[in-house]
Amino acid sequence: MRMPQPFRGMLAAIGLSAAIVLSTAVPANAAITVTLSPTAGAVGTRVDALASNCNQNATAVVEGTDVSIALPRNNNNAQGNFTVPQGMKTGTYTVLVTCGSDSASAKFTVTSGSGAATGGGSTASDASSAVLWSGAGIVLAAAAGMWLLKRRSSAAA
Amino acid sequence: MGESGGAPEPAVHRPEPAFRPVAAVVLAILLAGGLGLVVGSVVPMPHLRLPQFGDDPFAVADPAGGDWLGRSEPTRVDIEAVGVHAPLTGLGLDRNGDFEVPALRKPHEAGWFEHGPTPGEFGPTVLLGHVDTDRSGPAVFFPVKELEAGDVIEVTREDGIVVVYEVTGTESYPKRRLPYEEVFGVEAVPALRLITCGGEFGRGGYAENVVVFARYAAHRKATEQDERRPLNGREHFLD
Repeated sequence: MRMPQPFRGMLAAIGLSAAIVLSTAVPANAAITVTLSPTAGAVGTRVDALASNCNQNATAVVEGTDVSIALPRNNNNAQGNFTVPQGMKTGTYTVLVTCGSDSASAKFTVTSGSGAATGGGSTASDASSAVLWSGAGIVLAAAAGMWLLKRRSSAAA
Repeated sequence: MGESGGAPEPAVHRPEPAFRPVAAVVLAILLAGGLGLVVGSVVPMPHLRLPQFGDDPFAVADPAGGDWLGRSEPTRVDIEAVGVHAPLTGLGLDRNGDFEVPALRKPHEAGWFEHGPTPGEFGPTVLLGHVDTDRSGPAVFFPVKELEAGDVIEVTREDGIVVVYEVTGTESYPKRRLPYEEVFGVEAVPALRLITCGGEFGRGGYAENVVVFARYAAHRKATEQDERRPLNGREHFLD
């Protein structure tokens, strides 16, 4: 029996590659990750939290505050939300999610809610006031023209 | 069409019967247009908000579903389309809870919001840069308002990976009403936002923030060509 030898080799190779494919495609225990959206915001912002690969109900706390969040199971994830409470100081906070015996965290930054001061003003064109003055000029010219028309017509009459 | 007041007098040229009503109409249009310009420049234009997809930001986003990168801080940003080649510094919040910005004496430098995701990680990476400074005139992010959908932005990370983003749009918002849900919210893929100033300049600085929205397209190991790219230094911006 010579034939089985290569067959056995092939079978082994197929089996091995199948095992590799399976083990990479379905990790035994994928790590939990936490994602927040948005990642920054002012007091009153609603923040959604997603614990990926957490296939059960989870809970979370915003460390250093008394905010706690329930994350009910949702498909293969757990998901919930909280609202940045009045009086929460600006700064960066850790949102720690506990999923069974695992935990993971993500950061949220409480800001004043305003934009960024990204300019000194040296190139500001102030287009708006240019528009204002040209508009005013046109109004004046039109009014003067109408007055002239009126005067000529009454002079002709 | 004009009325003939008695016998025509060939010696006197009288264009008025036809001229006057036309002139009146033209002047009325001018008057209305001028008034429109005046009112329009005084009353702020209402801003259209893009509709959000429902209530759930994760409806179209699966943070664990893609082959996204781990954490590594960005070091530089390159935008070939508008000639931006800038070093990046880490930025957080100042004492008032406002966004830190690069020093005004470093017009060539941009920054990244270091409490958020790094480039290639899932979530929004936010870069901030000045549009101008008192002394330099135009600064590092002066040209980003010219970016159009499809333009490429490349951010290099400390680990030597270059993350490539594609611009999806540019918006301008009053600073008091920066839409955090859009700027700091998740998208289906890792996202990038460039923030600079725009609008009118007054006592409180610029009135608006210009935000460039971009989304992840690809990443690569930095090539020799990438590493040879010049960085625009401070001297690039001094007049």
